[in-house]
Amino acid sequence: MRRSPGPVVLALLAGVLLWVPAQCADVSQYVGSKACDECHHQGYRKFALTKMAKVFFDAPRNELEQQGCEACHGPAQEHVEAARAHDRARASGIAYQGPPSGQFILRFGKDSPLSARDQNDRCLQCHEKGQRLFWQGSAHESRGLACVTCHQVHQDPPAAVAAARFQQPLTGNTLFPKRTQMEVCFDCHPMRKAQLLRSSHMPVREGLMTCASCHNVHGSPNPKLLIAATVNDTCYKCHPERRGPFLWEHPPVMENCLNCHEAHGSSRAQLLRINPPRLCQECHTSTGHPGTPQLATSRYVFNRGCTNCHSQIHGSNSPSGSRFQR
Amino acid sequence: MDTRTIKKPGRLLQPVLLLPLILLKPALYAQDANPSIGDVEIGLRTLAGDRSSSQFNEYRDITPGLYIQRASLDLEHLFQTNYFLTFQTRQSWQKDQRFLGTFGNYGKFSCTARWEGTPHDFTNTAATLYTMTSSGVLTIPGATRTALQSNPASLPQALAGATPLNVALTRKLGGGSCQFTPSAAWSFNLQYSHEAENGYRPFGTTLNNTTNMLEVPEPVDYKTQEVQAGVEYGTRKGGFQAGYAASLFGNENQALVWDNPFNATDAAGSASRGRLALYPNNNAQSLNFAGALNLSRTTRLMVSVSSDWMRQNASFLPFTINTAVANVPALPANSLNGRKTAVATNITLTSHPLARLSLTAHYRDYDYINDTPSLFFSNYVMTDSALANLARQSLPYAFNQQSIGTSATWLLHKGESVTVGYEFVDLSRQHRDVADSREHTGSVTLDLNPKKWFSMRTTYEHAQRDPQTYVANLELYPQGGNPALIPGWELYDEAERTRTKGGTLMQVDASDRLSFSASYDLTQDRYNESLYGLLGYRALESSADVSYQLYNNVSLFGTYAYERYKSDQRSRQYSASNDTSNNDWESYIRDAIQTLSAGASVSRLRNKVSVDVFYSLSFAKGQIDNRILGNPSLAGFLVTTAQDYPETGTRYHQLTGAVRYRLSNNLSSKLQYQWERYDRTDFQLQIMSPSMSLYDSGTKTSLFLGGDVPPYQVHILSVSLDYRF
Repeated sequence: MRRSPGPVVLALLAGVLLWVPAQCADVSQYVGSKACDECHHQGYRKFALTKMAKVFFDAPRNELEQQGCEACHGPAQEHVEAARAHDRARASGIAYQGPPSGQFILRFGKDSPLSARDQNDRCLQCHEKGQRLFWQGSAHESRGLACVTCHQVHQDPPAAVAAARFQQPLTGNTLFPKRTQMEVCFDCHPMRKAQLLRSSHMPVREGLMTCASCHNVHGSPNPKLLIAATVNDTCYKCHPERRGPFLWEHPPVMENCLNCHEAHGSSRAQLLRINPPRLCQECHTSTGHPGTPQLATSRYVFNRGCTNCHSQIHGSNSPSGSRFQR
Repeated sequence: MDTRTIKKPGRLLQPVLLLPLILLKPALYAQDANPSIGDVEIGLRTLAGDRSSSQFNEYRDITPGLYIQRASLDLEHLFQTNYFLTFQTRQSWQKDQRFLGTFGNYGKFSCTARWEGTPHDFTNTAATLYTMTSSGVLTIPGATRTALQSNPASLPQALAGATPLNVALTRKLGGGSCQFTPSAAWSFNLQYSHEAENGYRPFGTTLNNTTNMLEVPEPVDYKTQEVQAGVEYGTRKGGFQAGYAASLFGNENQALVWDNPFNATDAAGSASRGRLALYPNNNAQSLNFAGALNLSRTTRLMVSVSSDWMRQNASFLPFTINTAVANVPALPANSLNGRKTAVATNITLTSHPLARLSLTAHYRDYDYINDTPSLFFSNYVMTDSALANLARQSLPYAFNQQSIGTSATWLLHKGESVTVGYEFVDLSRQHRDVADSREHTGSVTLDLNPKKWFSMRTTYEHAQRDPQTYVANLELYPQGGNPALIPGWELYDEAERTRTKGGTLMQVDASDRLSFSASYDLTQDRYNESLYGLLGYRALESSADVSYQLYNNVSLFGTYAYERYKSDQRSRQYSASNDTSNNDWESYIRDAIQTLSAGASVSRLRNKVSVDVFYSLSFAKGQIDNRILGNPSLAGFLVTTAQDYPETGTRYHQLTGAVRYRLSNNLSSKLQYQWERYDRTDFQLQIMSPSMSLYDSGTKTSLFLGGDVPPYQVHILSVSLDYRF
């Protein structure tokens, strides 16, 4: 097949990247995190509990991390000066006439004057790697989502609920504004929540899988933000037995599992879009039983329909298995 | 095989095992610095109602008695150093248990170990005459076979001795990973996991064409090992990643052999046993490279290349286990030597040349190369009974998909933008009906945010897929024997398709207390050049969600979703002498699903009490209506079975109420009541029993598991203590 230009472009890119000198930050306007603690004690205390703060305060690896709070909120010299001037004026009983201190500091969230892109730019100073390498240009970036739409750094954790709608999955990441990662996604993808309540579903509501089991929401070069190159490669992560190669392959199965399955939940068994035999008859309409409608009580219909006999429908390695019966 | 007996030894001892977590506190951590370093929730549960349905515990393990819902331990600055240790568990010592432990040094490294169990119950109503006597070999006592061979009508008597079994799988995964970050820019990672999947799965087999349809419990004994290693370098200028991954899948049962209960002696055309190949061992390895470079402050180039190598070379089984079948040809090879390579290349360029303008362009090439040899089989044995007298050729299906697309977003002002996009996909396939097809997709999206409290996103997309030519591929049957082809019959995944999608999402934050959102999406596929097969598909999905904060500590919520799916397909009941459109028939498939949930949450009532109540209902209905298109009075009319199928449906109710009471600063109690009810109407499953001859006389010499997923109604009452330390 065709030769892809990807490796050449990638090699050039790596060469340029290693050649480019690292940028240095101007440190003259920084005041240090202790100054933040003076006025923003609650926020400081909550931030101090995070892993990020532990790295910033106790084990910084570069100049940016050494800046602590100001690594994200920007140099605070003018902010502090304005705030102190305000405090002095208040203490003297004089009306403060200067600019509000808030305009000298970077703020995040819905009320921030910064665009989502500018807010994200602060986070990406450190996080534009790992799973975020492809954030720029991704579906969520291009739709104007800010990192703080889905993550919080030093706000209160979501209120503890007495009863959970979905089981909380086991994860090291707890910086969500909601109890579970799935509930964050459901804000903009409400139909997925409905689909997960169907009788045939993957174990997401049981807390054994999350949206991130299949999707990299931070950007992926793959379709639908999948963690693997294709739908099938994603499914093979948990179902490697269906990977093959097989002697007898079923081409629609090999190309895309979604030709037959609805991954987010179905009211049909085995996450099928439609029950056999109609599912199979979407394609198989030829001589013999595939072309016959069949009664509801027929052996071609009850139980699992066609796969009562053609059970090796995902591929067969038997020399006598060309009809997926062996 | 597992029977229905459920035993849970040692449950009372389980909480004791968590005591060390609590005892660790004074030794390792100064309490004053952080009042809580962990918690544990232990409870007692009782159940009432019928919970025998596999649907109840499909992916979970809710049983009466003592349980540990969760526990966690978070030791920061271990021994006054920068080391940390965390531990979490959920549903401990249950089938769906989870354990996760992490040890590391802030900013330097972290190593994680995990253990996960995942049950999957298929059915609890099955019963079988089979016993697994050795790996992958299912046998039935000779006396039973002899009796059934002489008198198949005695099957009901024989089934009195059938063994009930839970047809279920369990996955157990253990693994570990380490990530080293010697500097903020560099990181290295290693990962290993081992997963064992064991149990049984309902499995359909057939002997002697469809004379003996024999559903058996397929023994599953899979082991999968995965290894990953990677390196990454990243700065504000860009970064690159390189990784290697290997996945090794092993199946302890390479073949399934099962007895024919209705025939104890092999004969040509009548097999006493069957044998088939289960999933063979396989392995896959991959190399991944990705890089990104900020070409300027506003432009970023991202590239990824990954190559996967999939291999499978398990020995072939002989054509048949039936020794009475004569003139069986020699196999063309001892094994497949299956070799596939998938190379994915992605290049994305994104730029913000103006403050209001964002541009993105991407190119993707996915090459699915199949170097598996094509093998010619001059003949084969059908269902272990007789030679098929057909030649078959295995085909190395392969495809290449290239796509190029671009999108431009113009920012009207903060939160408001318009985006237009275009994508072109070229898909070429080997050994399929359509060698090359092209698809053009155009889309426009409008994001509106006229008020701070109101936002709306509307999208419209139109796609046109055109196969260059549609020619049925007949290579599978190199010496004839093809199924009849009806003119105008096209496989829907390759056929010409017009796809239209539209959707809108509206979010209203009417006040600090009230928020509302609604969505509406419509998808329509038309296969205009297909006269047979799938003709069209239409999906409507809509939802509304409201939440209201009555007081600072009281919130109410409600959601409703409605979905409707429709598809139409046409077929022909064919016989060589009556290949006319008078035997055409159509099927109309309709699904409607409604999902409703509502609840209330009260937190920190008098700083002591939290209350949660919620209810949800998922209600699905399915219809399959069938209609003849011909005239029954004309000669040669065949279509006598095109009758509407009975309506199917499922209802899943869940009602939960819980009260959490804070007994002290670090101890709280919880009382929870749950009611779950599942109803289903499924004409395909609810009639199932091991003998199905009452419904289809053609199954007098067949045997099924009788697997159903019946309704259930369960009340669950639990009390638990949550201790924070």
